[in-house]
Amino acid sequence: MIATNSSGSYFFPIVMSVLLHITIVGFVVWGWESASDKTTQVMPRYIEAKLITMKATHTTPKTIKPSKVINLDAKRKKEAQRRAQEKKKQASLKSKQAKQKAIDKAKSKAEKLKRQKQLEQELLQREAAEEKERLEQERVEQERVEREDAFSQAMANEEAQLQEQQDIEQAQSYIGVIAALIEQNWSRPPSARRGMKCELSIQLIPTGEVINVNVVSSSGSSAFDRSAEQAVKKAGRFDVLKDVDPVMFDRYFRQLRLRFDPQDLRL
Amino acid sequence: MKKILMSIGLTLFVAITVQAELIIEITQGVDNPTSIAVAPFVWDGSKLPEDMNKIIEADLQRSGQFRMIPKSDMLSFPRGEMDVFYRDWRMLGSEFLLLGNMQQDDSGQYQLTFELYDVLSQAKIVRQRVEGTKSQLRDMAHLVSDKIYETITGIRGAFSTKIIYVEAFGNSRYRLMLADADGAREKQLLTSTQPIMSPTWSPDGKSVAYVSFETGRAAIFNQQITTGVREQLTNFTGLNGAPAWSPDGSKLALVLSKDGNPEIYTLDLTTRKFTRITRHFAIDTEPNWTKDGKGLVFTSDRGGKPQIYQVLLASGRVERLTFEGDYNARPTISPDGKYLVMVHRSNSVFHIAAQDFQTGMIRVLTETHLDESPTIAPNGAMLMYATKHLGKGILAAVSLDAGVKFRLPSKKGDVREPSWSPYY
Repeated sequence: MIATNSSGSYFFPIVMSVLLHITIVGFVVWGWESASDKTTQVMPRYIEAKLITMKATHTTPKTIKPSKVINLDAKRKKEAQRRAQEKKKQASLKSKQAKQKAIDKAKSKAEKLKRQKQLEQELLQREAAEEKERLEQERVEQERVEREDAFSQAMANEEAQLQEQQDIEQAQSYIGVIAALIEQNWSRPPSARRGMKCELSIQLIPTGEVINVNVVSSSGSSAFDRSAEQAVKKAGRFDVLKDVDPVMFDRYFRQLRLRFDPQDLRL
Repeated sequence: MKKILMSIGLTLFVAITVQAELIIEITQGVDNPTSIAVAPFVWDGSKLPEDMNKIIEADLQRSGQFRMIPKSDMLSFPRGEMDVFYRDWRMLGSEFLLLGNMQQDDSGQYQLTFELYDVLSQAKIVRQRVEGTKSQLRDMAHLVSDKIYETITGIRGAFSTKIIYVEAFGNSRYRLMLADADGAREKQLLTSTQPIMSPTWSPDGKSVAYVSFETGRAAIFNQQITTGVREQLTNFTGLNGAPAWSPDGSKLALVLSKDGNPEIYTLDLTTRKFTRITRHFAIDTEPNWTKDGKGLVFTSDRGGKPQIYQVLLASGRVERLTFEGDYNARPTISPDGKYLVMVHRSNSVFHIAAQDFQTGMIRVLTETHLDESPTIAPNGAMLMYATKHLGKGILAAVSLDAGVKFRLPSKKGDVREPSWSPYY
């Protein structure tokens, strides 16, 4: 009695805890995924799969929709023609069989009216349905366009980001050349010691010429700072920058910051 | 998820565009000598007894940190700032340009106004005036060298300092000599038929302590450099040698063998009290003071071979400092207190070597044989030592970063045991 009672009272908590664990595990898994997404940039997958499917779904409705619109118009025209013909027929029938079937006249007239009404009603219904379909399609289309816009925005962002990365990589290669040239011209004074650091800000023009050098952070030794300044001035011009695209030049090379931090000194 | 990715993409994009000013790390250099052009100084009088340009150029060149632009390459000899065409000097590869203007006033005093230009920055960075009499022309030139050296290298110049050394003529005549650091203007302080040894400058630069055998046995003397007044400090039987001034100049460390075998003592110069520092049956010799004056470094063969030890004066605790090589002697400590400089033998060749106190690393500074008696310039940048050249004892110097070596002009006799003056 006690045992069953206790088992009965534990059942709910156990279920709850299992559920809780599942939720936690779920959260963890979800969190893990998004975390790993963050670190290992998933852009390639993003582009490949979604770009193709999007284009496929995007193109088909565009071609279908106009054809449907045309069909609808044709149907309406046909219907009108048919109605006109029917009316003509009815008129001729009336005149021919007016006398012969006078009794049936009222009946048939009512029937015809009824049929016509029915037809008209059917037509209205069809039209309403078609209108509804059209609206629905428009709505879907709009959604698609919206989605497409969001996608293309994301794509543009990503492309810009990729471009940015490529630019940076390219800039880095130029920077390597610049750094090497400055290193070749940097003659440290004998008072230079490991741990001395200074930072220069230099201004360049698109020919690669250095037009201004400023010490933004001093090492505390004027001889050391001067040696850094002289290294830049001795290099004087970075010819590699002539080949740099003007936009890229403006973004990265108009102004450069140089950190002089000797690692190869013995003392 | 898409939104998350998009926002991540966006933030990355933003982050990248914001960080537009790229930082370039420069972590290496080449350390070539600095090129400097010393234009002939403007002087309208009759020929000067000293060639000022030549003295300055020689000073700078000897330091190993400078390369001179030859006068024959210069496109112009500017007389003043308005004549300086930076582009011309830059084309010659000159980083700095020194101009000088000599004047003589009515009293016969010379005035040298000198200007140092940074060619690459196109700016005048130093303008100064030095004055002196005819006999001080060399001093004026050395002062200019000091200023230029300090401005460009960041290290105080030591061209105006002096050296003392012993010159021997066979076994019959010995002289104690004083000269400029470049070996010029030598002056005799003492002459004797008996050996003179181990001269050392007092920290105030006013006197020199040395060992002389003129009394028939070794004795330590202290001599005032300007007045020539001498005083005998020791007169014990046996060895009286290797005097070394404490950094404050109040004590001398020396070696006495009056108690049987060579031991290190200190002598308080005010109380005239001797204090025995080492007690060991082995030879303890060649003491020198640590920078803080609280300890001594010395050579001892207590380990079987001569090695360098350190003793703390307060506790008497002895510690061995050198372990590399089978012979290490004549310890000196660099002015910054970071290096132990000594005569070091490896592969049966004697060198001058520097050992880093912190890392224990030994660096050989000289590569000739028979190098001895290292003495360090007060700025710690140069080291002078005695060596043999063409069978004759001469003085040579080496920059402490082992970049350049030069020999001082040869004297008549055998030159040995140099001692570099402090700044005074």
